[in-house]
Amino acid sequence: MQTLGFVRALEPVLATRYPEEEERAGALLRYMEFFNTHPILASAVLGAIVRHEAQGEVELSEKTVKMLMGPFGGMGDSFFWGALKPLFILIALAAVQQGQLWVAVAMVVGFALVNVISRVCLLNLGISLGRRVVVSVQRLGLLAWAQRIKVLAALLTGWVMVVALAQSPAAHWGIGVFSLAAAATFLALVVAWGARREVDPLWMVILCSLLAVGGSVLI
Amino acid sequence: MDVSAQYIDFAAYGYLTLAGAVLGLDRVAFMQSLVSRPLFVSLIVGWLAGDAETGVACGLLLELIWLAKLPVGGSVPPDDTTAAVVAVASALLAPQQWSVAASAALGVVASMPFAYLGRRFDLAARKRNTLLVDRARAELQSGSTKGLARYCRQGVLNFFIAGALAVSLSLFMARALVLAALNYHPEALEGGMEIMAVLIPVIGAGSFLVALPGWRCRTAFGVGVAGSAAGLATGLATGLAGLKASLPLFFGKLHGAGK
Repeated sequence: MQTLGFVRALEPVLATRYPEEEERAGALLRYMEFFNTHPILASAVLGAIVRHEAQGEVELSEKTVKMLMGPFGGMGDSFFWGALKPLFILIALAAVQQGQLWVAVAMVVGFALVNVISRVCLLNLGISLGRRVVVSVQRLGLLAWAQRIKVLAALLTGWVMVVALAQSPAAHWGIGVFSLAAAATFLALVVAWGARREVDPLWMVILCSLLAVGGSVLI
Repeated sequence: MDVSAQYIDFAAYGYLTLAGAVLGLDRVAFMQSLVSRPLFVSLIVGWLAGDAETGVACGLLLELIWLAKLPVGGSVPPDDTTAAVVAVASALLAPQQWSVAASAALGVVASMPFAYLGRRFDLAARKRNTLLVDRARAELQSGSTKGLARYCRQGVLNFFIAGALAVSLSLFMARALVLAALNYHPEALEGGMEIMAVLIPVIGAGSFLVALPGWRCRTAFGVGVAGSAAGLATGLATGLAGLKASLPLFFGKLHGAGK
């Protein structure tokens, strides 16, 4: 599906260079191959193609697509999906737990802004640098930033988990908050061990609920 | 609009299906922002159903599970938007005397299989969209560019239809499933769901830890746990009281009001 969107986005750009529809269709056909990268960093690829097409560097343009989509896919997934998005979600979760719904709404707006502004900036960067945009994007150090953000996300995950437990029926079980936090941490590490062995958390929920209800029937 | 009182009502199904299908577009076809995430879908669906508090409670639990289910690489995760709509609608079927946490846990547990059903529809839409690429290629080969915009719109429409089918089918099936479970052994179900309300955040956080490798993340997680516990022990984290106090400011109604 990205292929279709990518080619559709190129159509107005190529319309100036190829005013005849048949010629334009031929030019667009060159890009109608498999295209899959991160949707935000795809803007940088698009910008680079705009530049090379405008300069008549057709062969370079086609090579650029193949050269950029792999690395950009990895960088974008790691930074935007693997780190930044969870961070925004965790901030929203922590805020909602404290009754600050407006912060959650701000996170939705904030992430949408990051999304749109990044696309605009990367498109412009691609247009001004062409295939050299890969160097500029690498210099941004997205992978290193992703690691830093993940540390913050881990901190918030611990925070959110304990507050969720304190707001759950466990609060009425007469267990101290520190004991509850310690037990939850141990269980979370067990779950992480299982998840690392490809056990799906959704199935864990289903299995645990069957055990919990079954236990309640027996009691 | 109060849909919780007349869950079988077709207009209510229509609203919930439309909400799920429109919000679900954000997962792939549109912005890929946070609008399709379970926290926000649950909040919106809960608000539509006249019970924002249950919506938020479902969203908190679902969001923790789906933190580890991000669409990285070529993976297609289970459909969180369908799960969120089904979870809130199912939670509203819980007896009124149940706690919000138990109702939310019931909704979340009931929604799990339907997240996979939603994924099936998602994959089917993607497959149909691959055919659109082939058609667009054939059209370009014939020298015409006119179909490109139409095929793009068709692609978005395929995702919309897939989302609507997934949500509407899931709502019907989840309702039957939850009512059957409630009729079978309501006391045991309530007891089990009270336990699940405690376990689901732990399962969510634990599975997300896999995506946070390295000793720095492990240490940060520990610091977060200790900091949160200390905050709760000293009263710095306001907890549920703050949430309950602020919800009426946004939505006007609290749990049970819609039942």
